[in-house]
Amino acid sequence: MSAMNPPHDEVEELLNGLLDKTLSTADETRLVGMLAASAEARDRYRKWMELHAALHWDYAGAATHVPDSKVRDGLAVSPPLETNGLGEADQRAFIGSLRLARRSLIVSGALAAAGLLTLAIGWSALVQLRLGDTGRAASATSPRVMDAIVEVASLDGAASWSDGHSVLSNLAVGHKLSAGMVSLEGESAFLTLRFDDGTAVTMTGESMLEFAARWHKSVVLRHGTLSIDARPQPAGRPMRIQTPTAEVEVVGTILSVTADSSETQLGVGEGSVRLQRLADGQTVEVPEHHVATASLATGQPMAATRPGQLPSRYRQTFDGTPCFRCRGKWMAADDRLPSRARAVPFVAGRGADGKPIVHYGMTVRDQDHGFVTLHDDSVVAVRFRCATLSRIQLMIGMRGPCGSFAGNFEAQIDSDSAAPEDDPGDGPSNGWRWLEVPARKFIASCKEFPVLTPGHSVGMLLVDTFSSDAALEVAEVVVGRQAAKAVSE
Amino acid sequence: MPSGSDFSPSAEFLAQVTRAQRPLYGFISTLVWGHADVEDVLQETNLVLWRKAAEFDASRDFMPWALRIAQLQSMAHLQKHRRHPLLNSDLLDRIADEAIADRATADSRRQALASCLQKIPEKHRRLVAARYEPGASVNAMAAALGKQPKAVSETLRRVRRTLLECIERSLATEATG
Repeated sequence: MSAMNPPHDEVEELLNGLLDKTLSTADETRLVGMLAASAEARDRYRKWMELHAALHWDYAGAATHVPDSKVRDGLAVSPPLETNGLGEADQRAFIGSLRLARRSLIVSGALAAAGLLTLAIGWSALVQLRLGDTGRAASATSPRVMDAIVEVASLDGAASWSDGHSVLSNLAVGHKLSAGMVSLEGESAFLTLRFDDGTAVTMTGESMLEFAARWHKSVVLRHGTLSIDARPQPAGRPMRIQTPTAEVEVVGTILSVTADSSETQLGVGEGSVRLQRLADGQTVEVPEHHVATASLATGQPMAATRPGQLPSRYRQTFDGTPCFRCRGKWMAADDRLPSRARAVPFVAGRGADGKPIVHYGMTVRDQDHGFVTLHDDSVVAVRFRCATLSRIQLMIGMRGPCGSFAGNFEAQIDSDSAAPEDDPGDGPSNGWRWLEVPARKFIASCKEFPVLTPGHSVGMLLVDTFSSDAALEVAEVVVGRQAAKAVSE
Repeated sequence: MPSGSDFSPSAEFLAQVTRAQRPLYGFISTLVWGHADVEDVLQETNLVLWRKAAEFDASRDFMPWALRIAQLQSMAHLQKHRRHPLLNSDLLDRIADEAIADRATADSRRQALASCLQKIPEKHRRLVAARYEPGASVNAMAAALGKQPKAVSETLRRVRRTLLECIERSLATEATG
């Protein structure tokens, strides 16, 4: 073996660790170095990754596949997919079908080559079916009976479901769903799924999760935020929540989980939860009223901490670097203007035709379990300006103890009714206005959470101009118990 | 040529995209780590393919074109999510180039996998099935089996190596047969 080629077994060990997500950052760096230096290492890497991909491809969907012999009649019927022409809905349906419609085989007893052949034949047949005579990317049109394991208990926003065979693109309260994947769209969207035993899983914001309930309930949160109110689970069969960076075992508790590709935040409202960091397998018990974080970094030992009392005042001026969890186009201060965030388009929901409803806004987030406590006498103030007269919406997403979702509340006002900022004396005010809304003026966005509870915290604050881009810019957001207009600090 | 949002891809084009799903998934897996991320990039690639359908020259080979689009989408995804920053663009390009050059063999390897899976012991097939079901992880498997994650991963390593060796043997037999 040449000096350029790393030891065979070491490459294999690293590749295997990569597939099983057991590599440390240092190992990853070592592997990348080997790949850069050796064509043989890259060849082996490609073969291992392709094998991994092939197995993923063929097995994905196995858990959600419902063999015909197991179908129970009359549990639930998913409506047919939209087949309303070749527009955006078709594009979405087709793309979605490509992603999810592959079938797989469940390995029990003999996993036969014939099974894979069946898969290939089935796939070809599916293609033929989908293309049809007209060449359209039409989706399945017949209703499908399925084993329902959850019911949509509440929904605000746009959500879709698929089990890899059927797609239900406009979920509604009362829909019963078999194991599959749910995708939720919209900054302020939320959706609650309720399992048979009463365990409730609430997704908020733009989230995507897969769920199943075979030996145990399992939820895979691809990204987004979940609140879970879990009933006591059967002995030895805890509910499992998996994210890209962590795994959580739930016996019976109230908790919240926020995950993206690099970090998972867990807050426990009741009970106790074991959190495992996938990067190195380290675990930590997270007791009631504590939070913990698991990320890709393994330098620090995992720890559960009791979050301090959230402040009653919060101020965001977008100074310095962009607010990490905020949404909007950050604009640096210059001679005339302060640092600010400009509204950007986001999907607020979907119409009956499946087309996205786009609003223009910016969002302030901080810690996911909340960043400021709201009281009876709290006031939310926003320093903003618009290029055109617009209806401004303020929405606050509330969090209960340790981050559990506690509803969205909104207030609306015309931009020109907000108080213009005083002329600073050394130049024009550049159109800045102050919008101040007392907490008691916010109204519930959904009937499931009708009351704004004092003592709960704000986890998200959205400012938007609905569907018109009024060039909304926000320079300051203040939440406080007194006159909230900023004071020099 | 029609273009823009009113353009509808032909049935033939859609069939090409559909047939390309598995190879695209395999190709993206060599550039982007993590099943969910690969799925996301595949989704983005499909959207771009749809939008660029009007630009595709039907007289050309579809797969190289689709793979290049997948390569660009992978790079965009990695930059957006700042993933494994050490996997620089030069290395990514090299891996992508080599994967595209090896495309035909990759297809043969995927086909050989079916029979190789049949040849391994049933307990190993079950292990593979458990590892690759949605949401599965080595840690969860280890907990269920009462073993250390490292031990489970080590067993998986042996199974994977066995499968790869079987695939290589199959390809060699085909070549000489």
